[in-house]
Amino acid sequence: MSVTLPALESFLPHVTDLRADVRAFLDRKIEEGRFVPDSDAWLSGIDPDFSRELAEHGWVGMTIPTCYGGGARSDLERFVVTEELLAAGAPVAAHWIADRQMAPGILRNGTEDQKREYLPGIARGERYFGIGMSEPDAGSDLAATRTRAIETAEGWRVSGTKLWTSGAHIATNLVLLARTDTSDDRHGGLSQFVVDLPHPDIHINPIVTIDGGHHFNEVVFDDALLPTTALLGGRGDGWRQVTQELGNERSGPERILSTFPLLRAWARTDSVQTDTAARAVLGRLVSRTAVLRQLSMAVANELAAGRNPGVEAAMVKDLGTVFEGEVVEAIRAHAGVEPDSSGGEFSTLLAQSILHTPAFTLRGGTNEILRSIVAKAVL
Amino acid sequence: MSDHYDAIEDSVRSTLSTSPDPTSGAEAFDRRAWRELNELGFTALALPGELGGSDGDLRDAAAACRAAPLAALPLTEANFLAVPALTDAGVSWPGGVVTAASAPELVWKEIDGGPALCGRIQRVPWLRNADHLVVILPHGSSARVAIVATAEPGLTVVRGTNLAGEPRDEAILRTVRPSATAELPETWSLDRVAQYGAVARAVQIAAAAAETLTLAAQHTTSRIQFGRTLSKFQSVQHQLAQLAADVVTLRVAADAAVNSLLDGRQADLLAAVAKIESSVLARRVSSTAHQLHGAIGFTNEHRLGAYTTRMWSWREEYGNETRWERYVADLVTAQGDDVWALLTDLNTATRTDAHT
Repeated sequence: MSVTLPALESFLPHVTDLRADVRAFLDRKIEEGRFVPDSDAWLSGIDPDFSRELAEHGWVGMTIPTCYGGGARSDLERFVVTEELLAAGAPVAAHWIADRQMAPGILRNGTEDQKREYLPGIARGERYFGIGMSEPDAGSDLAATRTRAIETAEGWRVSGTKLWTSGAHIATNLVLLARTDTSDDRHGGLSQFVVDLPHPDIHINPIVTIDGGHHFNEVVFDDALLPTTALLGGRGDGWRQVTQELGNERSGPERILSTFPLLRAWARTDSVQTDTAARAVLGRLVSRTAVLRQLSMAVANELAAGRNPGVEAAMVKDLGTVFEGEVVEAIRAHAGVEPDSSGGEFSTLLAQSILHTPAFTLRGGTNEILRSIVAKAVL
Repeated sequence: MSDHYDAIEDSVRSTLSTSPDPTSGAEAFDRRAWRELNELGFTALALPGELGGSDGDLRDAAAACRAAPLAALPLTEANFLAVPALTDAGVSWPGGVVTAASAPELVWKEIDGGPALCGRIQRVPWLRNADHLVVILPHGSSARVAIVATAEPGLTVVRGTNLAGEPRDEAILRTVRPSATAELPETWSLDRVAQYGAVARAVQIAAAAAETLTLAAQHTTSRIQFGRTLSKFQSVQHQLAQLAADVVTLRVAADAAVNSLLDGRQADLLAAVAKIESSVLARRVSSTAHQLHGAIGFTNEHRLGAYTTRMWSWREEYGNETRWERYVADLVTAQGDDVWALLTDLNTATRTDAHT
């Protein structure tokens, strides 16, 4: 197990300038009241207009090659932009999944036609993806996927139910994991598809979470016909492709910074200035954020170098998501403010953070699954 | 470059391989190893050649210290405390066994046309075994460095030890003549000494933690209970995973701090972060490793205790987590209470370095 530290290239002048540009833009938007910083806004802050505006600045689909409408920017530049968006608690959920894992996934595994069809829309901030992985009986155990895609003369016929699909109700596309073939290996016979929405035989039903919000959905495929060209990558290669995607999905700064807007807001409150116990807690939380950022950057470096740091990504997600909850708990204990979603700015932010906490260590693979991945590498 | 650091680590490990096991109860100080490491140039790695050093840098020093968590000698004091001060002051390496300490209570006097030092220095590592003590003491808003030969009359050593049995002696100086002195540049203060010490301990804790993981993996894959090895139990696997993640975290934090001391970028933050993380995680790492080992792990015949008792000592040395947490909170205040400006080293409200 080895994690190499990034050189301090994150302080290259053009990267620092980019960071400053994004931050100035976000500060202006907050000042104008365009959005209020919120915890977990990368998953629940759905705002297509905002996504398009970011794309106009070149801050969506940044690493996509220019021939597919992207910015051909470096992974480091994308990392810096995503950090700034998360730290500001900006509403970026609409395009987040398309930008984070579908652009790289399609670049890696897609046909030339798929790249031309989907990548420019992602870079314009107009194509939004939902993830069709989990099912009613396939949560942490993804290999238990039962949704079937059967090849016919007209295309693929898909039947089954996907669950916990964030943003499906506004998505233009789904990435679907389905069983195409029987196999003795339970990881075999799975394939990925890109599904265009809306579709007459795909039904999207909302699931409301304990904060009263709606980003989750159930997606029912009722013998839905997909064109032959919907297959993404190799038939039967689904498990390998999904595992690859998880490197992008698990190690990013959103596994550390979901509740950072709360920390940022708390640091500015009067009680922190004078309460010595609270100051130590502030130092502790800042320290932990700093080291987890270093870890996340180290994994990003590995990904950028074309390696698959699955174990390290699992570690980052485990440590990072536990920390996201600790931030909320530590601040709650010291702030002495009653959380209220209809209250003042801080009280609302606190309420939102508390209500989202159970999700942190579940989504993207439960932390127990991640620890098993890490343990395998240790033993 | 990683080959270069691997070579340093291998060389130090090889030198220490014939040292008495810390569980053997042999005499504490490892004079042979010091002599050999000194000949190999590992006791003053980052000191310039013209001052008697090895012309390396702090990353080399970290590699050497990483390979020597149990070594019974002041390798980190020499490399992380003495060397940076002597380098910046332009003072040559005194030779012999060298230890170093920050000396906030030491008083500088001019007596008979020369300097003399009076006062006490608490908890100096390996002082009883050292030939020379390098002290950094306050001087106006900056600091100065002095070298004291431990054989000098007027120097009394009061013995003390930490939890691991490492010497942490008190030096009492009654008008002691230093063998060399020099003023340090304005950028120096005793805080800076503490910073170097904190990073040194973070490097050592990361190294000790990595060893506990190796021991825990070995133990749980060989010990059989209920008819299978402990490593087959999921609860055991998850504890190992947690331990592994903490080990990687400690290493990354220590490396980042060493790099920051070298290039000056975010050194205030990252040195503090490394010490906070290592002081905090020392508890979880040691308790997990002990839990995985069962009772054998906290006996004197097992190596695990040698690592954990060191971690429990080192987490307090050069400031524990609370001291550095308050320091980080002050750094936040200095950035206009903007946590993100501190973390990214970019304050758009005061930015002037845009295109430098």
